[in-house]
Amino acid sequence: MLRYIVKRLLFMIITLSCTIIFVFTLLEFTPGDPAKVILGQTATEDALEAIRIQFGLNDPYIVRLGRYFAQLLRGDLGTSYITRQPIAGAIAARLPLTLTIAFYGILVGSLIGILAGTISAVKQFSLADRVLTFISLFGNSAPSFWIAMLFVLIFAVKLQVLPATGSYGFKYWILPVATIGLQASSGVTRMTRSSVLEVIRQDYIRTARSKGQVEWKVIISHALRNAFIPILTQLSTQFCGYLGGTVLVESVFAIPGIGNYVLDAVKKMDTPVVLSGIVIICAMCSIIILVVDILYAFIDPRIKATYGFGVKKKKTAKAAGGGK
Amino acid sequence: MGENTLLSVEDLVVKYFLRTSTCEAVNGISFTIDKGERVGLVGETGAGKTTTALSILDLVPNPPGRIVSGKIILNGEDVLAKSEAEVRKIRGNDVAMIFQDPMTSLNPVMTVGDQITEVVRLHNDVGRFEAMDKARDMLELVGIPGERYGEYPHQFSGGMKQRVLIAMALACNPKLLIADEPTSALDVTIQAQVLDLINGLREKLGMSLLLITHDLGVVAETCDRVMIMYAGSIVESGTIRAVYKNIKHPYTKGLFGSIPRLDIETERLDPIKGMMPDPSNLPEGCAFCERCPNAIEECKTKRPQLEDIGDGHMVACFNPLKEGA
Repeated sequence: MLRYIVKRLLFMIITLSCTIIFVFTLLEFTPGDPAKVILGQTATEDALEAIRIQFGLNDPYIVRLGRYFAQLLRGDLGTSYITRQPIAGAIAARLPLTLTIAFYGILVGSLIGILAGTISAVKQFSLADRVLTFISLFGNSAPSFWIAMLFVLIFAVKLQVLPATGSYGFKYWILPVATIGLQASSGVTRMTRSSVLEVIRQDYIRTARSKGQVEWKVIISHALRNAFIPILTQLSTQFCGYLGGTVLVESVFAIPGIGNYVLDAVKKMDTPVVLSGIVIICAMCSIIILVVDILYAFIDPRIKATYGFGVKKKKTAKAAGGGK
Repeated sequence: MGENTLLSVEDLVVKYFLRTSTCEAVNGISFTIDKGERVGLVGETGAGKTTTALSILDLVPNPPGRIVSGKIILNGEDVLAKSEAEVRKIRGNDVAMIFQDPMTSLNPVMTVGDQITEVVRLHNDVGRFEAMDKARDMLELVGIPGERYGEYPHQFSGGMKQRVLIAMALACNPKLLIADEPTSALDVTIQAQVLDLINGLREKLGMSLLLITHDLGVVAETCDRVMIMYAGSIVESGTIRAVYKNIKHPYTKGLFGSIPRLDIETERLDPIKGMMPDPSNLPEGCAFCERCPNAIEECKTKRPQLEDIGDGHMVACFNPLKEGA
């Protein structure tokens, strides 16, 4: 298992490096002069040249790329062109907020989604199934910013029970979390439904019923665990999506999260912030995917076996069985 | 129904209601199984054997299947008239079932021990650790070391998985064991082992056995009585001796003709010509009529009923084979 994790971490470094090179190159092609971004349009040519030398902007592409890598290895994410503040500090202030909202959104979404999807699958073609399928299709297709604005209209403007914008504590998180949760639950419902439907037709479910087990326990302890791998995959991709993609939700609710930060930087041509922001989001996603891959092993012992866990057990199996 | 009768199935009709058609899987079959008796149910794929077995546990997948009519009387009580909770007490306890494919019949994410423990705890008022001990004992009983309690199904071979399923089925001392083609998915060498195991344990624990198979040889070795099923009906039944020595139904003869024999020199096997009729579109007369070499006019319009021709040998045929044919 440890070897597997180390191997995965090495892969993660390769993935991150490729992402950095790709984004760095992409930013290279964006029009505009970074020096002008820093000093403004009215700066004199001498001042611009001085800035270019100070930031090393005249160096060739490969040198600057190498410098960025070296800088990352020192743990330095660079300095913003606009604020002249270190980027690491700004991200550290914003990342927890984005992570918290995305996490709670996914949590709410998975609770609702798994419940709804299971009901939908167990009562296939029933009225409940049709209604839930319709709602999840709706949630999947409705844009998140539209849902966000709808929530603001209902709960902040009409009912005036929740704050519309800002981030000063739990109360302010309810609407963004609900927005993300609703959308996440739609995807999870659909995935759970199809996954559970596939599993409840398996022979081992019939075996469980033939033992005289109560139906809801058959579903929970036999079906759901087997159906969980695709659901978890869906959850992890959604979680990753929300790390960078809550921009729209963050904009509507004016949450100073990382999505908003990077979006703002894109608008202002603040390339170091864009680059480092994407690197951090990418690193977060890699970690989430790694954690999920490790979780797979705890859900499905067959996957655990392929990770090189339980070598001792394998030996006994070979000694006693072997007729396969 | 005699004193010694354990299970009596009376006029059972099971249908699968599909979107475009209705599949008549079991068409009014009746049979009994005595205490300690071993009965073989033989027929080709799609004859309704598994549906019959699932009906006994009231486990016909619904939808699309439904038991339309009939009675399943176990120990004098009609299973089909019971509530779901009462039937659950029978499943795995009074009647246990071993399924066809051991590869897919065990939950892949649960240890084999826990899967046995589950059934023990469902039907016995015991604590967790006591149930686990019982599960280990059951593993030992089927020839698997108790230490393998915590292993997962993928760590076992096919034959070993079938042993686990047998241990699971026998954990609550059922009165009736239904074995649905328990060896079809296994290697020939393992088949004999598993059959011996089932037989030995059946004798030891004094259960009745309903063995579903398409292997007439296995039935001859294992059972006291045999029932031949075709297109949802029993066409011939009786003691092994009566049926094997004196085949009456042309279909039974066809089944025997499909087995290669070492003592008779033949160029080719003599299989039954044609296919089993579509169960969603059964003919008006005898279902075997189309393929039957003995068919007469009557077979096309009327369905033959099982009739006793002496010694409990029953046959459903208007023109049965003559003695020694």
